[in-house]
Amino acid sequence: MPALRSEDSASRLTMDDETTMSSRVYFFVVLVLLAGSSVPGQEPIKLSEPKIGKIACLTPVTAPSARCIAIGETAGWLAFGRDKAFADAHVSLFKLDAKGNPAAHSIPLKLPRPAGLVKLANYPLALAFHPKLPVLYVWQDIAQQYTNPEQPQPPDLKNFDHLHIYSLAKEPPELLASLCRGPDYLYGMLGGSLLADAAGANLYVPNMKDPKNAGSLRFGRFHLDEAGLPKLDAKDAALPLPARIKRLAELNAAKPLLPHQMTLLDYVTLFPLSPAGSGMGFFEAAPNVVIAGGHTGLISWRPDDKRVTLSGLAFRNHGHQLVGVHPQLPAVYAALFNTDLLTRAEQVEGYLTLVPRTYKLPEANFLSQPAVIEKGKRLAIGGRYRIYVLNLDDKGQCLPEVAQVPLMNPSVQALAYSQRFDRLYVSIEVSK
Amino acid sequence: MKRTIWIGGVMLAWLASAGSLKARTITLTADDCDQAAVISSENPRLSWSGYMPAPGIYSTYTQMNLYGHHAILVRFPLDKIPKDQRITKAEWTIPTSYVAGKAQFNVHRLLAEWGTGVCHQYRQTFPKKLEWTTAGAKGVASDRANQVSAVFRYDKAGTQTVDVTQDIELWYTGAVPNRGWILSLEPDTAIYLSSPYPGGADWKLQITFEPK
Repeated sequence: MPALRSEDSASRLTMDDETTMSSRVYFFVVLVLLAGSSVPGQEPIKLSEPKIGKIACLTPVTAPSARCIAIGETAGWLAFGRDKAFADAHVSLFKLDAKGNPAAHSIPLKLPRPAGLVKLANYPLALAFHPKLPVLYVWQDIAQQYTNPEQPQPPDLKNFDHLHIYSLAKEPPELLASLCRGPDYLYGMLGGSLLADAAGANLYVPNMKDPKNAGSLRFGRFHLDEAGLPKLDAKDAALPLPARIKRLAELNAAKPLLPHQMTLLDYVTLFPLSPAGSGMGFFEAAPNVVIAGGHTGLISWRPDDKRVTLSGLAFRNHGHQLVGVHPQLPAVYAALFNTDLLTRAEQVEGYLTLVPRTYKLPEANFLSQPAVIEKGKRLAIGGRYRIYVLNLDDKGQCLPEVAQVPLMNPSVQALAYSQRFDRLYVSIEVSK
Repeated sequence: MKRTIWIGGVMLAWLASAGSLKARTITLTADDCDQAAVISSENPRLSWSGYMPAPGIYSTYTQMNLYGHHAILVRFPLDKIPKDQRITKAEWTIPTSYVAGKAQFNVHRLLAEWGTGVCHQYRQTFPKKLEWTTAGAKGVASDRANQVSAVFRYDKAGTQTVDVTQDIELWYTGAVPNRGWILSLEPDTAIYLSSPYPGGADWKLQITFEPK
């Protein structure tokens, strides 16, 4: 590691002689002697200029203006969420064959919005598949600026549903439920993520707020039933599926439906107001424990732990943290959106630990969440017209050598790795 | 001609002062630590237990509010000191922002290896869970050295400096492995200081050395 730091400045390494320096010339000589000195830890560690490389498992998929992605390994689906400027579809669904090859044609989904908001673009921010069922969750947002305090809003904003739940059991997909509206939800956000946990027991949702304080953010989770829908109370839970779907719609219309559990409020250290919202990338660190990207760093949420419900590990650089996790090691990677900074932290069973380390890849623009590929040896991150590939050592630390793979996509934001298929799916603008 | 004289003068000045170049001082800060944690008996699994902005919430952001049940674990790598040097002086400075009455940090060398997942209960939890001999790294002569290396004494908020030359020399020479220090508070005391992450702490470890 010291070799990586050697090109950094000597600014923190002070050098004092025991005697007074006699002249400016002497001082100059001292500075020259110090020029190659090493450096501090949390100063970003500079990585080398990327060389052109290859990714053996790369699977480009033509999905113009894609901004988010989800892989449904069990159900055999790949979904891309499109930028708000893309008019043809909000979401494109590709069926995957047994080897993970995407179908040539996609199924488009248009996300609903209230009639009073037709002049405002709605756009998907996050997608997630149920781990066992052919169910797709979509989190959408609307291009209405969010401010603190909130400005007057279009009346129909209170009827804008952020969460849509689709059944993919038949074609065309069926919209089962639209939920998450009202004053507890942020709007106009640029980030946010969804996660259905491995057991299919919970759906984690982003971009919530304290309805009494527009600057205090939070996220939450719905407990899911056996159909992948938010659980109803005991009496309604016994209803057959069509009746439960109807009941969800009634409850949603009557009163804002809130997740069963929500994070505690802390608008200073963990959840300051951010245009990227809250819950910028979830991963399940242990049963009933998730780690999310937050504006100031990483946030661990243990909803059922009364003593340590939330804990954060702050990074030096704040903003839209796109989070990826190493499948074998305790390493967590956070790419700071639209910067050249990547921070590596550690967690075990959801407990954030030790010291975060930040790497700098000069002149890079990290745009996607990091994806660990090739049996944990490399880290892929989308950029402008390229994918950056960082090499990892056996502890998951970044090695100095970096590769880049050119790609026909000006903004590689939709990139995800499937362990089952050993494929790195990425959207491109035109077919090869 | 003038240029030759000027360059010669520079070289002479440099050579004449060569003796004074021998001794150097480097300053390490919290940013240089490769391992750090704040452990607490109240949260036996947390690595960062130093700041609770509200009940149930912990953060490393901005500050650390430390009480008798807390301890700071910290390790400064010494790889910035060139080989074949003699440590002549090492001083560690820690500023505080609040002190309840009179309080002190007792500094001990850590003897047990610690790392990922370190907390009150465990000295590491990955790749496997290893417990401290006594929870909180309190095992004398097993988790931590018996001897106190230094004591930071505060009777008000401010900066204190202690001499840690002996420990740095032990680590640098390889006489004992550098496993860092543990700073523990006396019971019923409180010290507030800025958090090392995301980079606010003004800890300074100044090490002076010269060629052997």
